[in-house]
Amino acid sequence: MAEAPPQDPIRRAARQLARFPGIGEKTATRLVYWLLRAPQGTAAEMAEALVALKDGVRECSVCCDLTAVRPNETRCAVCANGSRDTRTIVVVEHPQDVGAFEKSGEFRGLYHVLHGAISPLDGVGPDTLRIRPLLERLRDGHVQELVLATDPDVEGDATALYLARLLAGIPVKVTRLAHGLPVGAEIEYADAASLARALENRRPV
Amino acid sequence: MRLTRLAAARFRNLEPFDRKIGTSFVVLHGPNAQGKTNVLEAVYLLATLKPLRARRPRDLVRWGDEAAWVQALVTSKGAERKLRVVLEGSRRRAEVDGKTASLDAYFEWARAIAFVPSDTGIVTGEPARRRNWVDRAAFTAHPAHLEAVKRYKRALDQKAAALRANVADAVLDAIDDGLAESGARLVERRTALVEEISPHVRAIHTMLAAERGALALHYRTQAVGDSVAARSNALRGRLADARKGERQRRMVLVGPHLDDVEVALEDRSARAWGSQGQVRSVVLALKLAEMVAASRRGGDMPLFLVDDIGSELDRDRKRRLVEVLRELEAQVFLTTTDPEHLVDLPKGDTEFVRIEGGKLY
Ligand SMILES: Nc1ncnc2c1ncn2[C@@H]1O[C@H](COP(=O)(O)OP(=O)(O)O)[C@@H](O)[C@H]1O
Ligand SMILES: [Mg+2]
Ligand SMILES: [Zn+2]
Repeated sequence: MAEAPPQDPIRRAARQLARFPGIGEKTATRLVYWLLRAPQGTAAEMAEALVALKDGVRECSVCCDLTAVRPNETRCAVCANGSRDTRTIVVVEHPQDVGAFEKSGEFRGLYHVLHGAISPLDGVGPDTLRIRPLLERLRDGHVQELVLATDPDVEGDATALYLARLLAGIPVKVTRLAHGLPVGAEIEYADAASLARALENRRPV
Repeated sequence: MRLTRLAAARFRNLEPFDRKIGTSFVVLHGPNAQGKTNVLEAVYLLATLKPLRARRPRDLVRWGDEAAWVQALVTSKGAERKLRVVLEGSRRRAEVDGKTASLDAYFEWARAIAFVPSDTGIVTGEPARRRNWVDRAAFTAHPAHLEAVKRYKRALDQKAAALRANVADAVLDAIDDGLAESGARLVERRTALVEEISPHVRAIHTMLAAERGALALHYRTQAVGDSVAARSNALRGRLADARKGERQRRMVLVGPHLDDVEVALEDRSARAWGSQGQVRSVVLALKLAEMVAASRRGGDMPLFLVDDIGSELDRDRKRRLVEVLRELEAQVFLTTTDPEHLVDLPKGDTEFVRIEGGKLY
């Protein structure tokens, strides 16, 4: 095998940073020059934090939200919090969506994170999503209401409609987050006020 | 909306120009292949952000150049703005008063309706031409229509992908639920537009056409019903019936992507008409009715662009067209090879611009 040609460290680092979504070649190069001027150890601190990321984070054994790995605890902080209302579950697409609801401070129940939405164009079907663990949570009949808070786009709607059909035989109230949200918007970016209103106006599906 | 000044650089074959415009009618004339339609193309791009004839915005940049721009001073709703469109490679940037603007913000200041020779296909061509016309007209009158079109398109793409991947029935059921819902919303909007526009089409056609007889438009759809919910139910039922065939052919066989607008004169389909003149006056009536519908909502009249008016209309129809346009108080840009035929344009309110070798005189 031929030996790889030596790579320019600036270009090499820039190419790595440009792998982030939303970061182009130009921005990546700017970040690299910033790093070169930053105090000694900055890059090492960053690299260390990034390397520790994968091993330090896991899916909550109950709601599938991402959570820090802790000894003797497989649940996230919300699921482990004894004062939450365990009879209502808000179902969201992404871990970021949980953060949005929590910031609004309007909701005292639990969450379930699907990690995506049904999208045949991207090869994502129900089996790719965390739907089975959700059904598991409904088995003992303790949960009274499921609020489907998937994004109000085509994929989010298909996912909510799929779940509504799937849960039709189970004695749990299923509601869909009302369209108090701007069309085309994502839950993650909604402001607290509109999220609260949407939550208030949830309706049966 | 009115242009009071128009400028462009590195745009098609046009020499850089910057011109004041002070009239309601602007006639672009000269021999063939000199750049008349390219000026119209520049105005259309400014007003709609879309090319008039070219497929891609980059085809509007002068051959061998990387970037082009068009800009104009416009007055609309009593205010003046500077609009500018920059084409760079395959990218397009729209500015209002020197700042990059969102589409919503931009379209507050700009809109246009064009009539080009190939538009006769709206009446004589495939249903897709008429669906595009309805969507374009609905968008000009109600910009929110775009969202309904995009959403249905996305749902349709997802459904097609689901059929290709042969997904489980439970997944197709959910996708069909959403498809029926977004399809019903689209049909409701299109139907409303056709109903809104029909009386105007009829009135304008009566004015323009030589022959008598009322022109009627009907939106033909499987999503029948008098509400979105009813239409959605109808569509959902059809989708369920079509499931087997859709699975076999891996195609979506039901929905508004297959609808049509029937254009009929005294109960005869306009597509069966013999005379090109008849077809032209129908299409012209459709376009002018769009103008009325657009001005009703937003309050401001779009620009009206006519390419190659000489070959499009006989003298009598031209005279009546001018009457209608004056009544609408629209600003109008026309191209023609022989301006002598445009004798009925208002003397004090018409500017003649000669185009030769890409130069404006
Ligand atoms: N991207 C381009 N760059 C330079 N010239 C172009 C470009 N596209 C078209 N042309 C030229 O523009 C001329 C046609 O202009 P057009 O406006 O259609 O003429 P007309 O006066 O007949 O309406 C042709 O000579 C054609 O070669
Ligand atoms: Mg031409
Ligand atoms: Zn949890």
